[in-house]
Order: sequence, then C-alpha cells, then structure tokens
Amino acid sequence: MSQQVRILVVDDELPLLNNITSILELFGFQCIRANSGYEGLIQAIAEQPDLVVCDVMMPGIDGYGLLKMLRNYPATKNLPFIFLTALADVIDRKKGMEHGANAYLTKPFNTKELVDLVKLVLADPTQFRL
Amino acid sequence: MVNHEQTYLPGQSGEQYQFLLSLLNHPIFIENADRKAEFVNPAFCALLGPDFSPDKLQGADGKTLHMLMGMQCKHQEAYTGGVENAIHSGQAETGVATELKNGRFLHRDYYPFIANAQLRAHIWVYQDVTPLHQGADSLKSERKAFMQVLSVIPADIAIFSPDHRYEFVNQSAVQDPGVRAWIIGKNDTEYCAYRGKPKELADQRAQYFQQALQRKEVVSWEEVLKDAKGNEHYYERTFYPLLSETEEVASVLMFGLNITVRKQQEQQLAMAHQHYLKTLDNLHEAVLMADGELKTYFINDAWRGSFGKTLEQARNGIIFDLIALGNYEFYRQVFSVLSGFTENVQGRIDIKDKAGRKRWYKYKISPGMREGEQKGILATLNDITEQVHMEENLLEVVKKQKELNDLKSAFVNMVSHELRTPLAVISSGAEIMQMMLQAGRPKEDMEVYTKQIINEVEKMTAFMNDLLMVSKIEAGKIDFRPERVSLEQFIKELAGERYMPWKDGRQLSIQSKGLLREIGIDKKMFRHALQNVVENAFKYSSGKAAPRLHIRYSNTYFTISVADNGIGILSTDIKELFTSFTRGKNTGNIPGTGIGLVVVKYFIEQHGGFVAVKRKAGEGAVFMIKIPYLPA
Repeated sequence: MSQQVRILVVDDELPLLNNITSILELFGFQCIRANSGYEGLIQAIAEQPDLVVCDVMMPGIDGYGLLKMLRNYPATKNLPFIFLTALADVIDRKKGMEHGANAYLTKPFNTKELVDLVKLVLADPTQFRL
Repeated sequence: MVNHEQTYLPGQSGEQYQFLLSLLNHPIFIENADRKAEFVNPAFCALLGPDFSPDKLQGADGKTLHMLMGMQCKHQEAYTGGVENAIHSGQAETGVATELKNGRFLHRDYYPFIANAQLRAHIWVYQDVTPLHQGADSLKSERKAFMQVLSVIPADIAIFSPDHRYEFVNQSAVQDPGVRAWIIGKNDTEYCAYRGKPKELADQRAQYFQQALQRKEVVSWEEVLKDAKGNEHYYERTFYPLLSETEEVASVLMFGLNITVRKQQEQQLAMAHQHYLKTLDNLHEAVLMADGELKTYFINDAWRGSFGKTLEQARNGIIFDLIALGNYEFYRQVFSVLSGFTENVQGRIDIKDKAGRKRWYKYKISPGMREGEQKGILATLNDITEQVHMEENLLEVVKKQKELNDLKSAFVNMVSHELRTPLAVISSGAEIMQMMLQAGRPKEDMEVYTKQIINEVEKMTAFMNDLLMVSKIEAGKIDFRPERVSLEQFIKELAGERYMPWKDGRQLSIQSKGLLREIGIDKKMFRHALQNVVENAFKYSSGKAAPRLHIRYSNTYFTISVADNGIGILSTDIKELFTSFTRGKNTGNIPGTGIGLVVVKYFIEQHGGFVAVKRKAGEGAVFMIKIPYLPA
C-alpha cells in the first residue's frame, strides 16, 4: 500500500473503540477515533477518511443518523461505510443496509472477519455485503 | 143533502130550468120513472156521438140511451150493469169511474128523484175527469219505477211514516212478498214480534227514529243480530228524515247495510293489530313509533324497560328526551328518513339508561306507517352494550398482546445488546492479546486488555444479576432484612466508590439537612436502589452539570432526592416509568435495560417508602425516595 488507508471508527463504548482501532492499526490501517455519532460526523467531514466502521446504538446521533447525513453530504456521499453493531436481528441488518451501508457486521466479531470485510469493501465499494 | 123536491121542476113547467141545464158543460141525462128520456143536454148528446141532439133523444127509451152510452165505454157490460144496479138499489152514488174507448175518463153520479115518497125520475150527471186520471197514472208509474229501483238496490230500504209505520220495504229488507204486503202500516214492534226478534231491538230502533224525527237529522247506528245458528250479523242502519216543502218530516227513509264481513275484517284487523303490538312487546329490541313531527305514539315494553319513561310521560319528544340534539349523525339520518330521502338507516349510538349508565345501541330507522299512509318513523334500538364491551375487551387484549410482543422483542434486543457489547470487548481484547503474544510483546502491554475483560465480565454479571433480581422479585423470592446504619456514612462510602468521580470525571455533590440519625435499611436493597437512581442521573445528563444528592431528615421519615440536568422524562412516559423493560422514548441509544426503576420501586416499597419523580421545567428530572424511620 503506497498510501496508508485511513479508517474512521465510531463507537460510544470506549473499551471497544480502543480495541477496534488497535486491531485495525495492527493490520496496517491508520485510524481516526470518534466516541459519539456527533464526533464521527465532524471527523468524517474534516478528515475525509477512506472508510467508516460505526456502531448503531449511540446517544445523540446514532449510526443510522450519521450514515444518513454522510450520504446527504457531497464529499462523503460515496464514503464506504460498515456497521459494527450488537443489533443482530435480520430486520436490523436489513434496516442498516437500507440506510445505505456497504456492509454489516455484528458484535461480538472476530478479527479476521472485521479485517477481511474492511479489505473487501475497500477493494469494491459498489458491492454490498450483509 | 139537496132537497130535490124543491128544486126539480119537471115537465112543461120546468122550461126555464131545462134551458139552464142545457147550458152546463157536464153531460146530464134525466129519465122519468118509466125510464123514458125526459131531458138530455147537448153535452150528453156529444158523448154519444155527433149524430145525436137533445131534440132527437127527447122521449127516447132510457135503457137504450144507456146502452148507447155503454157502447162508448171500454167496459160496456160494466157500465150498463152499474147503471141497472144503481137503479135497482135506489141509492144515490157519485164518482163511479168509467173509461171511454177514446181514452177519456168519466165520473158518473146517480141521483134518484123522489117526491111525495114516490120515485119520479133518475138523474145521471157525468164529469170528464180525464186530466185527473192522467196525472194519477203518471204518478203511479213514477212510483212504480221508484219502487223498482229501491227493490233492486242491494241494501235494506224501508220508508216510514212520521209515526214510525212502514210505508214501503224493498225486496232486500223483506224477501217474502206476503210479509212485504203485510208489513205496510205496521210498526217495528209489531214486525219484531212477528219475526221473533227481541223487543229491545224495536225499542232501540224507535229511539233512533225519534231522534231522527225530532232533530231532523240523519242518525246511524249498528245492530247485531244473531241467526238461528248463533252467528252474529252486523248491520249499519241509518234513518234519513225526508222533509216536505214546509220543512216537516214527511217520511223517514231507513237504509240498512250488512256490514258483517267488514266487521269481521275489522275484528280480524284489530286482533292482528293486538297480536302485532304483543309481538312488539315481546321483542328484545326497544321499538318506538313517531309521527311526522317526531311525536311518539307507540313504545314497546323493551323501550319502557330500558329507558323508564312511559308514553304519557314523554309523549312530546321522547326521542329528544333520550338522544341529545347534538347527536348530529343520528338526527341527520332521522330527518333523511322523515323526508323520504332514504328508506332505512342504521348506526350505533350510546344512550344513558334509566339508571344513568351508558349503554350502546344499534339503531335502525325506517319510514313509519300510520292510518295507511307512509308517515313518521319506526325506530328500533338493539342493546349491543355487551357486544361493544366484548369488542373493546378484545381490542384491549389485542393491544396488550401487541404490547407484550413489543416488550418481548425490546427485551430480546436489550439483552442481546447488553451481552453482545461486552462480549465484543472481551473477544476483541483477547484476540489483540493473542496477536501481541505472537509478536512477543511484553506482558505489561497486555494488562489493559486483561482489565478490560475483567470489567466487561463484571458488567455482564451485574446485568445477569439485574435480570435474576427481577425474576426473583416477580417470583416473590427476596427477603427484606433491615439493619441500623448511619445514612451519611453509607452514602459517602457508596459515592466514594463510584461517583467521586464518575466515569466522565464529574463529581456527585452531596448535601444533607436536619438532625442526623441512624436509620433501618436493608443495605443490599437500598444500595441497589440508590445506585440505580444516581447512575441514571449521570447517564442521562452526559455533558451537563453533575447530579446533586440531597438528604433531608424529617420527624418521621427521611428523603433522598437526586436531581440532574439531563434529558428529562416525557410526560407521556411518566405513566410507564416503573414498568419492566419500558424505556423513555427520548433515551435514544443511551444504554439501559428498562429494569432499573422497577427494582428501585420494589426495594423502596419494601422499606415502607415510595419513589416519586418530578419533571423539571427546563431540563432534567428529580427522583425522590421517601422512607419512614423503622421503629427502634
């Protein structure tokens, strides 16, 4: 990778935020951290990351809200977006994809799953994965 | 009596009188005792024919002249016979009618002339009565035609004289022609006696007859007659007084109609009507009939039973009494039926019954029938209160069921989230450590992950304990074990452990008022409850001022209130605040189980106290725990 890929990680659960970024960094990605939906929005616009990994259930702006705003903003309109959430129900997966996510991953996850999905989405952002 | 002896001057000495007699228009013929014609006048000669004159007939044979006269008559024998009889009897007679062949009518008078007890002459005087006869004839034929008409009329007709005697009855009234002839001149008493009918009937008729006679008015009444088989026959009888030109009652016409069939139909109709009303009374539905002005003229038993009022109590506007005019839809439909715009309408309405309870009715309104005319309305009310209640109950059950389903799925989601999040931390932490081990990183680097794992396991344990607690509470398996403690110390220890500072660095502020004292509490329960309230205050006021805890000792109880400046509680959520697995609609994705306050409430109630919540005008909420001091 000539230029390091930058991933924005959004999760209100601090220990998990730390772990996700640690894992991604171990696999050579550069991470931007956001502890809330609001912070995630600011960072996405300011830092223009290559991909977002985001929780759904957060106080204030939740994952759906953040994705919706990003999709409405020209600069982030096509920003690859992965939901990483405890909402494991099929209905929730469907809802997440309808909001325009590229992929959906449920907690608890394993490292390989996460890293593979990130790579796949980066390789072809037009593909959608449930 | 004329004294003929004085006036008759026969023979030669009576020339003057003979002259006078000859001038009279009445034909006159005088025979002497020997029956020789002594005098005839021209009028008499004219009767016999154009060839006769008084001169020629003078002294002629009297019998011959009568024979000639007889030849002019329709009934010759009768005339000549009558003449001989008269002479033979020697009695005067007048007005003996004779019809001539030429269609004229004569009256013949005979006077025997007796002087000195000796018959001297026979005097015959004739009178032409043709006009009289013709009049009587036409009267007779008119009367005949009239009677014929009356006879064929299929009704009983009789004509009475003013003294209530039969002058005429027609064939319909009396069939037997013999009786019909007999009855003329009789009165009703005689007729009833003859027919074997009760005297009362005759008396009644006499009474009505007098009424018609005196008032000169038409009088009608009904008569019931029983035939031999005991069957009743009904007649409608009428007396019509017929007035003369002087306004006197000349005669009275009686007109009788057999109304038995009509009467039977009326009775059947009345019975059918009674049956119909009885059927209506037996109906479960309340039935009302009102006229075009909505004035009620019928209500059935069910109506009286349901709404109390009788027809008399509410004849005017029973509908308006019962159903308020403001009931727009109902009255729109009523008037739509009244105006003939629609035929039948129905709907649902609630009405208070006589006990003032609200009941539901299905109403139907149809056009009413009155006196054979489409008029007014027929309204039925069917009590469907039970049905409506059942529907409501069913809806309630369905709603409850849906709520329960929602609650279940909310619970599953919550449990899933509350378990998956710590699991994610644990599994990711473990994997990171594994990678670190493979990379040969120092143990110290891994410490943060081991701590994380321990923390998350604790969280999960606590959550499991919460769930277990609720199930224990619901099963009634938790014992209340109070002990004496210093509240100040208890709270300060708890705050020091967890809220000095809270995870985000904010510090809980604690104040107390009143006389310090030891209190009796179940430490486990109380700690759990207080922790829950305080942590809620921190959780829902993230980024705002720190929560404040106040202790206040009163004479008989103590109060702990926890105030925050957080998101507050929606007024719509207050009601369900202490219900399991329900969370405020404004909590968004702030984690929570919806269990906490249920447990808080239960534990505080175990202490004999209660939890109250106050919404603050601007933002945030205040939770108050009030507990009475336990007896020492």
